[in-house]
Amino acid sequence: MAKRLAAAARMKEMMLRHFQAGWLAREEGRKVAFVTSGAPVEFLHAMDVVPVYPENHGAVCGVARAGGRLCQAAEEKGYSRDLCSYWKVDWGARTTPAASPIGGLPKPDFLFCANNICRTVVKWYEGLSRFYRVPLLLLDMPFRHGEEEPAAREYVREQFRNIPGELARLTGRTWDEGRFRESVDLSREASVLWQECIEANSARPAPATAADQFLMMGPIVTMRGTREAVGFYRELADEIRERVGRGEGAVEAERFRLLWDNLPVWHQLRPLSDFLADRGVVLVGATYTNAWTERAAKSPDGTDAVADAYARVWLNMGLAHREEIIRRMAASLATDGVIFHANRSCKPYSFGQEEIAARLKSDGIPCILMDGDMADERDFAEGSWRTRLEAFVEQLDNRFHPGRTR
Amino acid sequence: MPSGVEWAFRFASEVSRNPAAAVSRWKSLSGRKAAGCIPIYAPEEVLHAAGMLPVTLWGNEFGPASPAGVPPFVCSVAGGIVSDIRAGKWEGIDAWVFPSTCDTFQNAFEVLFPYDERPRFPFVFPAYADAPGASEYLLDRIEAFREWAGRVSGREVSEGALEKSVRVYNENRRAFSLLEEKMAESPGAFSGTEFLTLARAGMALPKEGHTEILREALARPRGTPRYPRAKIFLSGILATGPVMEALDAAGAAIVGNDLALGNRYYSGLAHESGDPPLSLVRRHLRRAPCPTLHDSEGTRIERLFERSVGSGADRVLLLRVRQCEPESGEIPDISDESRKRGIPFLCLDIDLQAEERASAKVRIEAFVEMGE
Repeated sequence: MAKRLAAAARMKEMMLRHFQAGWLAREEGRKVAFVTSGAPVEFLHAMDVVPVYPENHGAVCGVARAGGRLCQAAEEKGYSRDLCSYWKVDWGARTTPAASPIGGLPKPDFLFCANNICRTVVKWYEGLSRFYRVPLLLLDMPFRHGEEEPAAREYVREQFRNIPGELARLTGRTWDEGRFRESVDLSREASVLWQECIEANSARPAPATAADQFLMMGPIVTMRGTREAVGFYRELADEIRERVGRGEGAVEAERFRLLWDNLPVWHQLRPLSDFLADRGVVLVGATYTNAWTERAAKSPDGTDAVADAYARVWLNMGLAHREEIIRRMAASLATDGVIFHANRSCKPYSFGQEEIAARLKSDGIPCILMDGDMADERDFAEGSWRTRLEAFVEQLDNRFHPGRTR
Repeated sequence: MPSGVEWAFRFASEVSRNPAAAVSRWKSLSGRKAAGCIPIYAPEEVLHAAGMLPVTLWGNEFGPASPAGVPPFVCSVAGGIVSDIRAGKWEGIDAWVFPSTCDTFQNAFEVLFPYDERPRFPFVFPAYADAPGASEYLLDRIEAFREWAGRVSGREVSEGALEKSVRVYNENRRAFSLLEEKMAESPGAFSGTEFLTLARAGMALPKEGHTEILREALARPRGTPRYPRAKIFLSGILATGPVMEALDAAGAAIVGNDLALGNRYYSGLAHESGDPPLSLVRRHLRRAPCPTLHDSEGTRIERLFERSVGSGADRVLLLRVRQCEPESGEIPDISDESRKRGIPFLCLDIDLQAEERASAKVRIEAFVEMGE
């Protein structure tokens, strides 16, 4: 079993307060916006809008193993079995909020969606707009197959420059450039600290696991641009630094170090991590948690720099870029192999993993592809996962410790 | 000797059955190049003006494809296209155009092209027509595409050539629109199978020839009026042969459609005067609502029912390609709207790589019987 981080308790408390803020917003005279994880939330902070993340709610429901029930409710309404489970969880919680561990989400005043993480969110948010009869503010970020096209950069920047006016119209407030800049600075600061936490795992033994990172990423997703998030990551970085100083690993007798690609299997987060830890395997990093190290450069053109950063998020980039990051992470974290979670629900993340894995394998990097789903526990075959992971660890044993039995 | 009408159907049918052979034939006769396009937003006029043959792929041109190497969560359109290209079945294609229609097509481009060395162009277009800067961005992409097409074909795409191609494509769209009008005015004038054949033939033929075929087909003398058991408005990405055969066998007439392999591809004229690249930009940004495009007015579902009512349909059949997220997400709302309007609605799942003839037949027969 992997050792837990003390910061987990504070993180839970923060996330609870975050969800409560959505429910309390109206009493405080504040607007609520549903936001996709890749949307520039700093603009909302500038206008004192409370951001609520349906994707994050999907993850919370996944961890609580409520995903299957909520997906089932959506399927009874006519949503297809093969649709993204976050979307279905959200729909299920709208009609059966009691099945959500946090009682569902408050009604939004408007929706703020960016298609830089996938195009599915556009359809999801269009449906939300019809359901709640609220306006949808959409940012269209062209997918980057190779080098950035100057016209694409200008197109995204143009849309970002338009956001203050749109938000003023939606909230009835005056645009606050000072608060926006402050929020951008706080986002950058939190992202730098988050990156420090992730990179600390290059130490041997690794002070934390990717499961820790998946749990601790809540604030960088939902609270970036706030002082609270910066404070949290400062404390987390301190705790991790102390572990490194003491030479303390998250896993006793660390034998192998693996990298994880894709969203986690939320409903199996700890069981899987502990299953591996019991075999001396530590998940030292994940491409998904690393995605939130992307940040706006310090620049006098605040809005343009933010636009450029959001346009180059992980899922908006081609496979060559993703492969390069995986190789870089594998090298800097000194991993012995990669687990690719072929996540049925996230097609843009998953379609192409086989090709990346094949190229890594041809360079001698052990890889395994595991089928699953981030939030719907009905799409998880526990026996098969355990058997295949055990075989993978044996393969690593044979490769790195030939002739030695554990 | 077959009449012009018979010849038109026979030829269209031959092209639909074996588009790769039609492409090879065209290439050997013309000595020019063919460009494979992923559905459905490539500005084909540019390829046409460069002297190339645009060929739109749907993933089922060679029968069920072996899904080897394609994950099960990939839709059968993209899965079929990737498998067929990898299997070397599209050898006659000289270059590729991949519009950014959906996440899966974008990734299909990524998985294919470290290994396929033919020239390719990822045509990334604005998914949101009303976004600030969308026109300027799209104009830039069309100009880049124009330059690429000129380089690949060896023939510069002049303003004059592009203007001419816009006219050729408009003629083709007008002819297709007449076909759709005739299907609405005289239900059963064309069977579902004939409609599919005519629509598909246009994906692998030069548009001039396809327009001729459509005109011949439209000249078919009106036979004894048919009184179909059901008048269907067909929605979805595409219809398959077995679905159309089942509709025909059940006595249903297709009176309207918003299929991607149908109205969504063929509708919308470009301005014939003025700057041709700008005309293409305007046409694209005024596209008929499609689940792969964001519509700030939220009119996709309303428009679907307006068109359905306008066509005289008495029910709506949506063919959902499994794993297609853009199409899937609107289905419950379409279903609710049809219930509100008292219009029978059926969503039928299809998979291009699976033989589902029997189940399609049973479900379509039951749907046609509804409300009889």
